[in-house]
Amino acid sequence: MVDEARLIERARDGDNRAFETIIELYERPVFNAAYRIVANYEDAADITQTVFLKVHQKLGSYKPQYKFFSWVYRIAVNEAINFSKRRGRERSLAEVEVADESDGVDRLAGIARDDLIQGALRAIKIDYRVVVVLKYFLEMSYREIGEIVGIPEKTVKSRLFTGRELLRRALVQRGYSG
Amino acid sequence: MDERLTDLMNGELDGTNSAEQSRELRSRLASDPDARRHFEQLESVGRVLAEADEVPPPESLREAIMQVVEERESRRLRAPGLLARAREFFEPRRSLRPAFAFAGGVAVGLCLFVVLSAALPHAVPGDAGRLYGTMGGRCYIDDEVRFEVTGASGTAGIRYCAESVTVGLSLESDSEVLVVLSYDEELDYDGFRAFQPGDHAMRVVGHRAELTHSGTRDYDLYFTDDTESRHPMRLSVFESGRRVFESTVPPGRE
Repeated sequence: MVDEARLIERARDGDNRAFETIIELYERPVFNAAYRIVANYEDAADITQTVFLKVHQKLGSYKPQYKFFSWVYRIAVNEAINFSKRRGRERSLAEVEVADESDGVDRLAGIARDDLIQGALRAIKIDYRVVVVLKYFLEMSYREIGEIVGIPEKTVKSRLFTGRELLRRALVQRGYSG
Repeated sequence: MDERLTDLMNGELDGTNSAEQSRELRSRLASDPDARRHFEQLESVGRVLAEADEVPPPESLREAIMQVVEERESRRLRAPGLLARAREFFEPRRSLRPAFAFAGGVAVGLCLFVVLSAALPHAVPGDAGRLYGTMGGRCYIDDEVRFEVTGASGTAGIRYCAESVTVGLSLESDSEVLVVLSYDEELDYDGFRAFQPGDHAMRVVGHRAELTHSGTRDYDLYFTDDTESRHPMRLSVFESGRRVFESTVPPGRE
């Protein structure tokens, strides 16, 4: 059993092995959350790198009374949202072509279900997508999602309701019959 | 579908319904086939998401993060050492203050000369109207990253001089390649320069500089970074839309 508080303390004191263990613990969920939010493998890798560099940079300002995972995911979600919003404003056709080819082909070829999910997730607005991703892929409660996204539980609930409905429609549009 | 029924459905899906609410939902769904179908689809949304495979991150990701962390650490550890050595050098020599003052005056004069020289405009092709130059500060250069893939090869290196960041690219390819430099959001792209004529195109999307290149050519890409730290960049090379190379370009050392 990893003593997370001790790990954080050691990493804060400059123990890079401890920080590497922190990355080991959170790399996969952070990467997967980013991947589901931005829907691109390479971009998710870039976001994950930025997240952990920020975590390392800001470890000194982390307050132990808050849950560490909430703090890390908050950084991750903000990075992914900012990235998506920038990309949404600036995305051009050529880039879509490059991203899509470098995206699934190598690693996800043949996983039709994953393509279906990614396509449907991409079709819903980012605010709903984030809540859906935290709920279904990271299995978080309303309260945890609220802490991470910085919204009241009531708003989490309503975004989840709407997000789920939009996702249902997006999946049905893509031929998913349930 | 009324709001009460929607609330009951969502409460059931999130496991927040009471036993009584669950009973009410079941009863309403039993008498409303459309609502039942809708609820089944919502349930299946949850199932399809839950069944999605976890996607493994790139194997080299952790190593890349740790490389940057260790570079940062080594810079941080070096900095106080230099300050301490500087203090050690100057403090015992208080009697030499006039000499230091004279040397300081000469240094200021030299800096002014450098600044005024650098302020003379020289246009850069590809980004007309922008001026480039250095302030004569300390520069940091690291080893270049080299790549060699079928049909293309090249190098990339970052040079930090005060707030000016220059990425030097030397590229050679038989056919068209796309070279992508992903950089930290704290850097601002300022322009680029191609040192030889020929087909190429540069565009910036978000924090990615995308250079379409063919043939043999050198380029400089210019950025500004007004933070105190130096940032690595990610170099990716694509051939026909497929990534054939990727590496982190280190930001330079003293």
